[in-house]
Amino acid sequence: MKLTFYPGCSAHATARPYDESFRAISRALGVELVEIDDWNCCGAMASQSIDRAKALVIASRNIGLAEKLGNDIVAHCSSCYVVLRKVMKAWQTEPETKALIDGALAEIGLSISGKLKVMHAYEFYTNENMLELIKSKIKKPLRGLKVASYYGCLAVRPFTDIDDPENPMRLDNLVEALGGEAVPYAMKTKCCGGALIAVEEAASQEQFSKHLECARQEGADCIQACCPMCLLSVDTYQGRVNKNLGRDYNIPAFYFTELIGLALGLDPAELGLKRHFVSNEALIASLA
Amino acid sequence: MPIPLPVIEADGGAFLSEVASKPGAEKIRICIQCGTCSGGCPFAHLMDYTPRRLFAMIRAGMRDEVLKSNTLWLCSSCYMCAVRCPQDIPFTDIMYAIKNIAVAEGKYPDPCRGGIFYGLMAGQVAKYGMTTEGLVMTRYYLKLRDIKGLLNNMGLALGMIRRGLLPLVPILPRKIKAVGDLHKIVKYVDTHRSKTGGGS
Repeated sequence: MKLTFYPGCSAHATARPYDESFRAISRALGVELVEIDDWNCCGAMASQSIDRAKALVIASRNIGLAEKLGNDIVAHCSSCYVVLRKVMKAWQTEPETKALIDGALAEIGLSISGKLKVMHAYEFYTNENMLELIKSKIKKPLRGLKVASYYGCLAVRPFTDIDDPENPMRLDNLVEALGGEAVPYAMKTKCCGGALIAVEEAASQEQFSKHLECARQEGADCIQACCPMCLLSVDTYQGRVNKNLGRDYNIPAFYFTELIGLALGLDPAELGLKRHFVSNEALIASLA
Repeated sequence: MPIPLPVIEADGGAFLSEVASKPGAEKIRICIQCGTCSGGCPFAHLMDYTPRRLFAMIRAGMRDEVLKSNTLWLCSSCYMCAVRCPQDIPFTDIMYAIKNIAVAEGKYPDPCRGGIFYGLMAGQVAKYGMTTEGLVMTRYYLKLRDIKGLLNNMGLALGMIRRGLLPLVPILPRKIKAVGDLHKIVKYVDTHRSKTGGGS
């Protein structure tokens, strides 16, 4: 199976373990990822906030480049996924925006056919057939591991055709398929506040603490996420939350792709597991 | 089909029509003011006006108050309001549309940290085709003259560099190869938008 891959800016920065583990499990499961050559940043929330038309056109260049490769597009960053789907929706439903996108892309020899589907990596790796394939290749089941699944906002909203927008279950089902235990997590689709990380530092850290507190109260050994901002909020900032709000959380957080990789018996170094701020060594050792 | 509610319009409905003319925003006319949006908003407590109130103000024609409110810049784009709205109004997208109007007219709350942050990032995307997190953050804190904030984040940046999550020199701008193509399509939007009225 072949997919066109749009990594996005965070893949080479804060979300490097997501990118490394996503590529590693894809290799192990026989999914060929063909990266879009010379892709550009989707613009995330920022570009739309300033100038929507320009943001959509800039992001549409990626779809135009993907058309040359022909396969459906997969993105692992939730923000990239939503922006690319927004481009497709505007192209399909807004004639004036479509004319602007088509005109701009024609200037650089690109076009959109409307045939390519944009998928989230979490959507791709949690469909029933894929879960069966993963199960058949498990070497080290995550026996006894209690996992809180953190979906965040953009993987389940505004596009609600993949999972329930407030109580999704696909990542929870994945945990069970990997042999772990999915713990209920009331904050699973609540905003992490990552968008305001530099704008409202105190308020965003307060929001991060709510997610960590919920996971602690549910007795979770760890959190799994499918969005770089979500992981940043519960992993990278966990130390700051402890310091600034007087807490003592020690909850490792993973990308769901890392947990799949662990269950498949892949090398932790290949999965980028050492790149997290909260140490996960003891937890991983306890699984073996 | 729900019937639009009568509204008190200080400006004869001009601002309401302006907002409603944006793609996907026409449904703002059928808001029933139930407040479900504000109830589920993670940052309503910090806003000058809650989302429900902001939409009432749009209908009342309070243009300047809306455009200069911090509400626009505290929306974290989580889409909870949009999926919970009983009238199916895409509030988050309408919030983006109003931000676009405010930016085009240079109307901001004072200070507007969100506007500065997004402006820097959007500028980088249009110029280089990539976001360089370290550069955005550095310019952001310098622009705010917030040296304490800058130093505070440098500690975090060092931790990221050590883990290979940021390059050794995190303020060197990353660029795509076809920067010329990028500038061509950006220019195309600037010169053709008025004719087509596309997008915003």
